[in-house]
Amino acid sequence: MNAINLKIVRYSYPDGTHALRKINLKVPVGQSIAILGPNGSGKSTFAMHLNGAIENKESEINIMGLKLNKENLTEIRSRVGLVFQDPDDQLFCPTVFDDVAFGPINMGFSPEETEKIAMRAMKKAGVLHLKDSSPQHLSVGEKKRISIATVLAMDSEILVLDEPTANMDGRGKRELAELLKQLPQTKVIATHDLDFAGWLTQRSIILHKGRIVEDEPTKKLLKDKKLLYDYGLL
Amino acid sequence: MKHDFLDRYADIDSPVHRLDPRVKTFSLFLFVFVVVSAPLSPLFIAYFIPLFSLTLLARLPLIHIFKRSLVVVPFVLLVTVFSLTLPEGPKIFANVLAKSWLSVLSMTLLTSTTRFPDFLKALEYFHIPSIFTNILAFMYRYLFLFAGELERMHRAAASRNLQGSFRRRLRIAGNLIGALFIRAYERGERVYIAMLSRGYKHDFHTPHEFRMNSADALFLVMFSFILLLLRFGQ
Repeated sequence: MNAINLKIVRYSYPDGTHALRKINLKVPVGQSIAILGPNGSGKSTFAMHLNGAIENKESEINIMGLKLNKENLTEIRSRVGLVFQDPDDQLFCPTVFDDVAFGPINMGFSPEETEKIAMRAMKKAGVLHLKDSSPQHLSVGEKKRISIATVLAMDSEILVLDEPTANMDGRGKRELAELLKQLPQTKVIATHDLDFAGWLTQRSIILHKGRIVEDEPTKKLLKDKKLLYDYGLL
Repeated sequence: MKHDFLDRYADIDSPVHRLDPRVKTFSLFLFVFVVVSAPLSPLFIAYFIPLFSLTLLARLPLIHIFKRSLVVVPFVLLVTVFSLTLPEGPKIFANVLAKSWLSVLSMTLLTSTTRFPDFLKALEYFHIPSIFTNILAFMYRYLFLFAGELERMHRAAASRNLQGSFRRRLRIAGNLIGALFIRAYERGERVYIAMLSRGYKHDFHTPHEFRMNSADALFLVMFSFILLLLRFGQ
């Protein structure tokens, strides 16, 4: 079964810039795939398509066999956990606990169930000790792990991470990779961090000017230095 | 970067800090209501006594509470300075000054003994419309972030030797404010997408786990009694 099966004919920003064109992609359940591309190649825009955060009439997106449309939007948003590039966008509540509990509350769980779910998600992401902290006092790595806890609390089957290693140091990156490795979900990682892609994914696509130009096993792709150089990744 | 000007001292431990946030919030409203409705007399000074005792009991530095409470003075002056030309002027002036100062003192005391997220939950408990509590929650979360951004932009300008005429500097300050406004606007959009991604449906409540104990009840009874005594005993 395909976790993701999508066709994007075209997407342009309101100012007319073409961000994406002619993208066809199928991702089987459980696969980890890297979306590689330099800044401005359309990675974030692509990531936001996957849970309907960007509405695009010229696209057909199926998540776990479910068609993305107005009726299924809520369902799909809980199935696709989107982790934003800037954790300060993702974490908007006064405390870590409130943020992790935000999703389950919206899904209609009772306060007791919500607490149980939130605790479990924070434990899995290794941030239980930060439960009562305010995000503004935490490091980027900690905030990133909390962001992941917020989507784990929604029991998402697909994790979409937009530039997960932005502004992170070596240790933060390693710790994040270890956390993600333990998670069984299907993963889509939009990044230009080749090490990170190599650690975590079996398959990589390269996005160049809004098109998919390569679709290969990550190992093979990372060996082709000339190709990576040509597409601005090295 | 650590900013804590909003609820500094809220994390220390004292009998006042341990009180149920709902009890403290209710007491604040009661205090302000009584103070504002009471006629001004020389005995008005007695209202400072409960605040003074609570400040001592909470182990807060008096000078901090005093300094913080002075923020109200410019506003009061602005509003009342013209009343001084009236025959009743000095009386109106003293009335407004004393009452607003007492109110701000009590507010400072509350925010210095209650963590801000707990204060918000107490407001929610009293069914303050969620639009107000949400605005406060977002302010608490993002105020520091914007303060940080402004500081960085200002430092960037200073690093390039910002100087010149007053007019020029004023114009640059205007640009900074404009840039900050645009950043805030864009962040608002991203945060909203993040909220939608986790199933936000225009209803935003956080669970709370407050429990009143005998100390809370005792405080509430005593505080109300003292206030009534001050109000009607004179």
